[in-house]
Amino acid sequence: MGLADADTYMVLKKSLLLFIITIVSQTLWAGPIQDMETFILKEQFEAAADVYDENEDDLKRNEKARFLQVQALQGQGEIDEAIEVLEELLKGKYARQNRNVVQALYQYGEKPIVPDGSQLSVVYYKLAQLYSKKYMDTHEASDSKERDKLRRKSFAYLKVAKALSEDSEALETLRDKITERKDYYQSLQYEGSFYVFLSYISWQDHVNLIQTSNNNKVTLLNTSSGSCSGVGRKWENASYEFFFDACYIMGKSTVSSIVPSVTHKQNNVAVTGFYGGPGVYWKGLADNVSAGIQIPIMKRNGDWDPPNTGYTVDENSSIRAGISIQTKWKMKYISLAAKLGKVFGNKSSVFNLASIYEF
Amino acid sequence: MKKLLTTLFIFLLSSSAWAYPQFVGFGYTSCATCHYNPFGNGPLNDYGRALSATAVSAKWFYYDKESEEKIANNSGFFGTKPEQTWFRPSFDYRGLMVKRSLGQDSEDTEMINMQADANVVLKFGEGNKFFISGTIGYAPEPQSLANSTEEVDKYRSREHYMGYRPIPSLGIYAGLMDKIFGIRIAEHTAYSRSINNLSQNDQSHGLQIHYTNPTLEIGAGYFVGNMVQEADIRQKGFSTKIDYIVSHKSSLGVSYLNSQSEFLKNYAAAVHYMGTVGKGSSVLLEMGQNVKTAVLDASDETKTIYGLGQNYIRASRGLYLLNSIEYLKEQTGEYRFRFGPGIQMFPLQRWEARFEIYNTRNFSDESSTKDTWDLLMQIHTWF
Repeated sequence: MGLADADTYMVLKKSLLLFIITIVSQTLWAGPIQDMETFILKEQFEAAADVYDENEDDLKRNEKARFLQVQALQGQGEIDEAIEVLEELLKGKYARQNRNVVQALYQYGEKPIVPDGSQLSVVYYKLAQLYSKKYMDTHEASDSKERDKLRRKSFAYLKVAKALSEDSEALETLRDKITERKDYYQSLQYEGSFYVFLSYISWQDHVNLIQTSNNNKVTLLNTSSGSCSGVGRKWENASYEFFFDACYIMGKSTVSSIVPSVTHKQNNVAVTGFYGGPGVYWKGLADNVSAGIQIPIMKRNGDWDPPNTGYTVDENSSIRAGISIQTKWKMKYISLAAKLGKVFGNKSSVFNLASIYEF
Repeated sequence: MKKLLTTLFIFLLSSSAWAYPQFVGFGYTSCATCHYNPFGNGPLNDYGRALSATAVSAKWFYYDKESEEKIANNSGFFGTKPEQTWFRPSFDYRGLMVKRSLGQDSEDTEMINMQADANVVLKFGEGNKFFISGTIGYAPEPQSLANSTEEVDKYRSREHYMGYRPIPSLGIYAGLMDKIFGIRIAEHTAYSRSINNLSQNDQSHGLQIHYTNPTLEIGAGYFVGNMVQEADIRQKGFSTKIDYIVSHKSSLGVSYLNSQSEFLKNYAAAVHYMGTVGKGSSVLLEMGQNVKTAVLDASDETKTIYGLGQNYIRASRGLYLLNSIEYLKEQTGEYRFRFGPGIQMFPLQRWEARFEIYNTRNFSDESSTKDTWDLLMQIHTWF
């Protein structure tokens, strides 16, 4: 027998052996695997899982049976168990291939290669799919660290699956779904930051003159305006912004009597005070323009003088609560806000035009 | 979507509404997109009507699955889709209920039929290069003449002109039109309009040129006053407006106006900005000065500085929140602020409702005067 004939003989012998093993294994396992396939097609996942459990000793080394088991578990919603099966495959049958793929991809930056017929890419894809399912099933109140862990695992398996797969459409669809969910969670996340602001403020209220001889009250109308500079803290997500801010008022006032019998008036009177409180903005359909309300407390002091010794000034100082409606226009770190409100007990409105710098 | 766009383009090149520059929030920096008059106001073109029906107005009274294409097709005259391209009639009504000086002794309520116009646009030539627009309508008696014995004509034409656009970027217009200046907001009582004599009945006969390219929009006009007015009070002069279109989302511009009658010289200059700040939301800003000088006595001069800021927020399709802030400083040093928060709704195509509160505060060293609060409720419909 020549050398070539010997090689041919060896190949034939190997092929025959493989054929016999295949026939034997198919004969041995064909029944339960076919049953599993049928049940899965009928969406009777529990029955499919039962078939596997009853024949576990025979099927646990059969790759097709393990994939069907994963499908059966997934169909029953037993995602963790399905992941366990796939990770077992990864650590067992595909341990070496998996190590080579990870090394090639992360250590050498090369395109990984796996032997022909390897189902490793399917294992990766299924794992990415199952982790993403777990991620999608989380809700807003779940632990964000746990959520991120699931998302990272989904992305990691997607990456290796993509490196091995020619057809990446399904992978891209899965990636888009995960990214969409991630963006949604991010949009719900409240982030806190500080801001400072300088505003023009104006209000109209009243100051009382008291006639000392008979305690008669004369109402003076006060129109004040000035600056109000302050700081605030906000907590915002994509839809809402909750805030608390306060500013110090430095302004000028003009008062004049609204009673014809008294003609007292004073202008350029210094007023100081404080304006601030909690509020909320709603962002509507756009992130950089919003409308909201605030519940402010306003305290103000004025150096008004009585017209003569027969009078005293009442309410040089007052502290009151109110409500305002407001809109805001945001341009990166700078925002412009306009507020129109009513301080309860005041004659008219208080308004505010603010420029805000956000850190 | 492709079908809808096709429909809009078939419609392209009637109709009536006032100008709403806040729709820059939809990405339209030029009025010419939606109006026959490239500087806004007057009848809407087919595209403007379809846009108003689909993007601006709510779908509250439609089935969820009603297609935008069908809604756009119903935006023509009395809900029809025009079968020809040359004739575009329209009717426009605007009614206002105003409660003035709320909470004061002088509080009063008035119902005003601000506008009841009939308009016809005729289009000719290849690509409708030529067109004629004519409007006649009811004009309420000005409040200033309420106690006067002077007879005021209650019907007038606020617009009649011919237009010729030889190329899409260039147009020439002649007739009675609004003067070109500043941001043409709908509130004709806004300081930016009233002190510059650009109010509801301040149209003028004249000639206007409009040029636009992707980065610039330029308008210039020579006017001779409204020919139905007495000759000696007609303001004759010119005005121009140049907008630099920063992107399809915003424009920054300057305006200038110089005119004179036999009694009065009128000069105005302004800088203005219109910007998109989110889908359908916008910010409008204008700051300017107006100087009026008596012809017979140059020392009799009135200088006024004004500012306008309007924040327009699209809460949902058909529902908008707006906030106008106006500033006016007079030569005496006295100044005033006017705050006008409001709600604007387009519940159904061709219908608009608007509720606004105006709080006006005067600042003077002489005295402290009570704020005024006015409530405005407006209904607007067009067919």
